[in-house]
Amino acid sequence: MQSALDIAPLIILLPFLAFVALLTAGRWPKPWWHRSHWVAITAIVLALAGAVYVAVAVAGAAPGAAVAERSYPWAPLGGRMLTMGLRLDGLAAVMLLVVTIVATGVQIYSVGYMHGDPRYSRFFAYLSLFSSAMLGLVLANNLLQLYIFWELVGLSSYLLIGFWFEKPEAMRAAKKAFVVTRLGDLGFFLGLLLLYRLAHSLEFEAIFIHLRAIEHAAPAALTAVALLLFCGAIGKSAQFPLHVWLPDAMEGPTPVSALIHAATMVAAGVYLVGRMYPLFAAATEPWAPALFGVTLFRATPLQFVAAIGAITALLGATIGVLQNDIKRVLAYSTISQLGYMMIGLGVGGVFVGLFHLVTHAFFKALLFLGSGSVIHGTGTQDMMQMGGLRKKMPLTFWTFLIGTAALAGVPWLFSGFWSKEEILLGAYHASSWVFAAGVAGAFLTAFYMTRLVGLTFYGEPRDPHIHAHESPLNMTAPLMVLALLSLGWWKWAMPWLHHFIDPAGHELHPVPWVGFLGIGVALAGIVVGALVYIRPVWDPRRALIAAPVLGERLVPGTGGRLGQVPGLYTLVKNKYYFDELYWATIVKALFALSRRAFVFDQKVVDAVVNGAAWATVRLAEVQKLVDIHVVDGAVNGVGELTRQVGGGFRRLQTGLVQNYALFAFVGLAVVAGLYLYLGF
Amino acid sequence: MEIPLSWYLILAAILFAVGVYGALARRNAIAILMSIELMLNAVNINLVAFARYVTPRELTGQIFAIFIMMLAAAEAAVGLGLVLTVYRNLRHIQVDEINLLRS
Amino acid sequence: MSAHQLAFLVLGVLILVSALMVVTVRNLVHAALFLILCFAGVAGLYVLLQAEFLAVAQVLIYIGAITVLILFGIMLTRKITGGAQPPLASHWKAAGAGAGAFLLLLLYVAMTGQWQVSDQPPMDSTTTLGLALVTRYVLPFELASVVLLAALVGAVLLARDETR
Repeated sequence: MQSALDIAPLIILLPFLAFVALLTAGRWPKPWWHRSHWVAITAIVLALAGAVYVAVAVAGAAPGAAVAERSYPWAPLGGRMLTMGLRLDGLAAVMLLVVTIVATGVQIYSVGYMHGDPRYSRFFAYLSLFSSAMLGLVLANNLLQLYIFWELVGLSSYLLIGFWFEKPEAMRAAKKAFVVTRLGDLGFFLGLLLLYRLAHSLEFEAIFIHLRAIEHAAPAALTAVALLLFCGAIGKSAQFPLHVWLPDAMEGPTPVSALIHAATMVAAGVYLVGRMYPLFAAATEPWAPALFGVTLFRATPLQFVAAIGAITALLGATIGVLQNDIKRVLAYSTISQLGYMMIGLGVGGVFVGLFHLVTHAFFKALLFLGSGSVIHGTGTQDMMQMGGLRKKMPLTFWTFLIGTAALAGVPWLFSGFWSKEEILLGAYHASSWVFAAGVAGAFLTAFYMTRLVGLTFYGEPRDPHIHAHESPLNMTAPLMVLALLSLGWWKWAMPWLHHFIDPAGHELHPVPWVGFLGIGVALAGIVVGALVYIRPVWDPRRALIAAPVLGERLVPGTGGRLGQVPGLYTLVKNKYYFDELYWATIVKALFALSRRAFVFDQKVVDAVVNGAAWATVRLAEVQKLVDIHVVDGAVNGVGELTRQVGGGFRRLQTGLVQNYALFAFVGLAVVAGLYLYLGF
Repeated sequence: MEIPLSWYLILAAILFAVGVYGALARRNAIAILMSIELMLNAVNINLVAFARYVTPRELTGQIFAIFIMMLAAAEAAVGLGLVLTVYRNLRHIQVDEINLLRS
Repeated sequence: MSAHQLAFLVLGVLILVSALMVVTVRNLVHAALFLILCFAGVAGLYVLLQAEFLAVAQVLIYIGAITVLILFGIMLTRKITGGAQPPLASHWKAAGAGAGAFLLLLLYVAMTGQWQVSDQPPMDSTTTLGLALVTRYVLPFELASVVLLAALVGAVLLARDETR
């Protein structure tokens, strides 16, 4: 294990060095520049080798010695020392393997996909930065370090979503993703601070040792910590109600969607909950928010996790049914599957959630890369313009089909089946309505995936202008490898993985009819989907443009009455109006406040320009107003304050450097004077 | 110890304030550079005086002063390079007429 | 009043007067010459403080290198005489107020601070300083050389006339 600890920092460092090296690629001679991907791929392959080494070392360690840690002192803080360190255990080793395998596949794929892009080397630089940050997140042995890398993956996600920043949608999507996830991260950070106060340490090991004492002394606070940490997971893993950023993130290049927004980064929230699982399990005090004296619900943090997961699973699956953009269907599918992982964590334990994370990482990366291959071949993302690609892109088709089968839960032969059965089993034992949501979601999943395959690969080509062609080998090779990893041999890996990830956990008690129900709904979803989109049992011409028609023509003979259930179709088609809701409430209110703030800015400005004494008086007024504003808009306080201060200072920007220096000195004098006056 | 420590401190304070005034009020960029050198000198006086009076058995203060001198040299070189660049582009170096920062 | 105190007062007046001239005179060359005078005064202070090495370094670096550099800068950038333009910017009153406020603050600290003055004799500075620089402080010392190199490269790059 010691040698593994020596290797582990390199796993983080190598991709980071590749990132630094590739930043300079713009200055390389042209022939080298086109081969800049070699730097990134070499680094990630070496990281993969390191991950394998670590996994072997962890697997081969004696029982009870399967956790290895190493910390370095970093910053003294009030008599204690913050540390930076590495933690190697089964969970970290599995995540390392998943991240490095998918990242390697995606980088090789990107060589073909991004060929000829003007910022080719920059793309690989960002991918390397992301890989480095994600691996650092996985290897962290304390919450603060995890948080730092957490934000770093957020940053690289922002950079990569906005990679084609010439497109205004990509710019907006990148900003939206960053801001929305920040909302969750705020909760994460508060939870981190509160936890530090309770446990006096942020190292996982130290926290877990103190859990019992904390639970005894402050049960409510522990629950608050768990819920706040879960806020971070809600943001990062695109759970309801912060799921709105993930579909928009599809504006980024498709390999990015596969790596970051399907397989790894969005799974970081699941990983966080899994990592802090002992804390979640220890927090048994239920949270019971009340409105006007009426208790809305009572839920322990784990129940809360499962409930959010169930809502998200159903929400994502229903919206996915009515999307026409191939990547957006997959995005909503990802949201839904992340919901499943949360259910698994909430009802079944670390292994159940993480097992689905692992299988999902491979088959969803496969599906995204496959959709990228389709987009590459056809030049469009709109499924309504595709059709009949089965013959033209055979490799893509077959690998995509394997991914679909895995996601839909086709029994025995495919990976997704095994992990989904575990989740349903756990839900069955825990809560009837979570179980019902899980089953309904499973049906919808099978249905929308069949719809996706039917619209894309079957039927006749619907747009005569599109001349599809199979993608080059460096794109299809990763597809085949990932397809191999989406097959059902995970069944045999399961007991071993279980021991590896969660040595203390126990097996779920199997219930035969739950298994059959799962198989039944999956097959039913596929059959219904096939009847509508692949072998239409009624007018095929209508079926081909079936998506908008779906509600109307689902059951032949009902004459389209089904779709005229008032509002339902429109509601789902518009994604339950979440974006509009957030726009009308939060975003608009923020803008209104900023506008008020702007008017108010101009008072500040005049004040500063005229004389010192006068400015002091004004400053006092400003302080008062700022206070009022902050108190008024406590909810929007942070954003508003920033805007006010920024706007006020903007007017001070005369552009004359001496004015700046003068302000700096006056400010320094004021601060130093205060310091003396207060007698520190 | 015939000279009280506070004499040095007062001298350094006044010198520093003169430097501040020059840096804030002079129009010529080179004059500002000179004022900055004055401020650095004031700091050095403080450091050496403290080293002599408070910790006479250690050399930390003097070492610091040496590094400040080194940085002052680097700063003067780079500062003058900047001034020359500005001069080449604008044909003057009156800082109160340069407001490129305000775009 | 002892000889030391007298020497301090003379040096102090020299330093302050020449510093004031540096920040007020119109002719920049004169300002640079006053700057030399001021630096020399500070070197004298170092001698009084028994920091002989620093005194020599002050003469070599500040007077020998920096001031000469500044003189070059003056000659390369403008007509030597100040011309008709005023030397001070229009906001010089505000600057004076700021500097004055700062001075008051500093003076307050300097006069009220309780410094623990040690009465031990000082060390033989030059020898120990030299040793310390290449033993205990060798890393900062080497870093300093990197900084100087970077400044050198930066200055060359900045001052290079790219049109030629």
